[in-house]
Amino acid sequence: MPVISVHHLKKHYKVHQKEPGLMGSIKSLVRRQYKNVKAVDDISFAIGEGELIGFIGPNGAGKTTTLKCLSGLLYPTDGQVSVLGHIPWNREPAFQKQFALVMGQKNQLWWDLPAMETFILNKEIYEVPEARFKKTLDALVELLDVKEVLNVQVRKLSLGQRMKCELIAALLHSPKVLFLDEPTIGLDVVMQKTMRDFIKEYNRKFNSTIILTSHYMDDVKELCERVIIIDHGHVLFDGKLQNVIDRYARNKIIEVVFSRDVGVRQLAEFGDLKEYEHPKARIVVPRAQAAHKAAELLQKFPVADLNIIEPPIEAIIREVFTGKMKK
Amino acid sequence: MAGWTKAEILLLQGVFFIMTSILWGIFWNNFNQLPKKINDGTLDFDLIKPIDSQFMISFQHLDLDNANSFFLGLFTILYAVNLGHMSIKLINIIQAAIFILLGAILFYSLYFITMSMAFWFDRIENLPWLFPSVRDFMKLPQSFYQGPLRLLFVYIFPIILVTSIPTQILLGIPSLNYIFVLVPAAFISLAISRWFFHYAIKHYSSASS
Repeated sequence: MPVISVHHLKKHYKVHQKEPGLMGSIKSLVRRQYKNVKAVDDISFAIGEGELIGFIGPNGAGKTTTLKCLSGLLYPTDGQVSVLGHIPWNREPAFQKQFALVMGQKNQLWWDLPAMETFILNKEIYEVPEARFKKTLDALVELLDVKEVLNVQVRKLSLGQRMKCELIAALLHSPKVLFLDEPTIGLDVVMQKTMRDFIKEYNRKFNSTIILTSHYMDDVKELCERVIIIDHGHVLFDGKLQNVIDRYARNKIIEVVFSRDVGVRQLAEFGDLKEYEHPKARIVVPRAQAAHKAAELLQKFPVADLNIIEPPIEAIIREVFTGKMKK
Repeated sequence: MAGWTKAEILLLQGVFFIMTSILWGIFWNNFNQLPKKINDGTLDFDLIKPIDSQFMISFQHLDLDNANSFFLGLFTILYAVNLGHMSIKLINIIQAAIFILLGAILFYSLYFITMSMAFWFDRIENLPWLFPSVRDFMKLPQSFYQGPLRLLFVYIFPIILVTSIPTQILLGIPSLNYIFVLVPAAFISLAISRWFFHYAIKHYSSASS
């Protein structure tokens, strides 16, 4: 039985449209023009216990809207959702005590108070017993290394410290299901890595089910075995990250190191010559012909070294989104 | 004025100060922030908590500054009692306190219903001011109002009674009958506010991130 199951979820918004300028404003008072925006349009998937899913898609794809439906914040236009056996938008406390939502761009911490105050408030709201609260808090503080900043006003913290405290505030009640909406946004590389390690560790240690959205492919590559790619409110792909490559990559890249200088023109005949700076060259070739082309290269040129590699996952996903490779 | 002496009017002002210190001290900050929270989506965090959302939205911030008006109210009442040589019985104080509580529930509910409309409008920073602007009506004794205003503020939205009745009780004017107006008014509007809020959050669209 999956922890999260989504069947044909739809969320459409009516958005008021206004022409620019004063005349536009007056016009919109008399006759309002609406446009139906299909933020989520028929999405289905199921997630089992302990899975860590990467939810990827360009801005406006419907990722956050889906997470908000799963959190019970939004009433969907159509479709069924079940999270831990509950219908989220009934907003039962029994359900709400078992999940957490972390949004990288919004904060729940009280701005003018130390983070500790928010933690204590959340402890009361989620009715976490004192002993368990202390134990969980100590473990999280240790893992994230924020002991010194707990009693500093939140507005004086750096973004990285604040995000760590946001995570703690969301995890104090040991949620079984965790929705992370761009938790690493705006963080520096080191801090992103810390966050990633933490998410991985948390998932492993507590067997919690996690959905992560992120625009940083490194997050997804490192954390998620399975990804769901959505765009325009539809699921484009649902499966192992590795399968994205198998399914969508049309090309392979041949990296060659030559022992002698060769002509650019000759190389260009082999495929799309991406870069050539003696002695190295990168040639993009159709996937099916990769082996054949490599053999030909070896035969015709003085090759010191040759590698056939997959294109980077970022490039493949970028191509999926720009619509070059729709099924 | 309307058959009330200066001391009696002062007493009403004292009750008015106490009433507003309670209502403003608890609800003003919370209600004032609601449209902003809806607009920027931070209400998300209130709505996902395993606690009654209406309670959370209404009681999150307390504003202790308003304790001043509470003491100002007490002082005004004492001054009025002294000025008018009134003698107030303990039982009347208790009855007045009950009516103040009922009035607070009524006022809160009507105010909360107004605020729930913020879920439909994208930007409505003025909404928190709509209801407080009627509070000045509470400064005058109910007998001052006649005709359509009386119909509106005594029978339809009985907010004038919220201050008038406790004052009348303190003055020893028999007014306990009004319990049959204020109890249903307070609790029916509280129920409506809850129902309306649940209807309203279905329209919550959150904010983009």
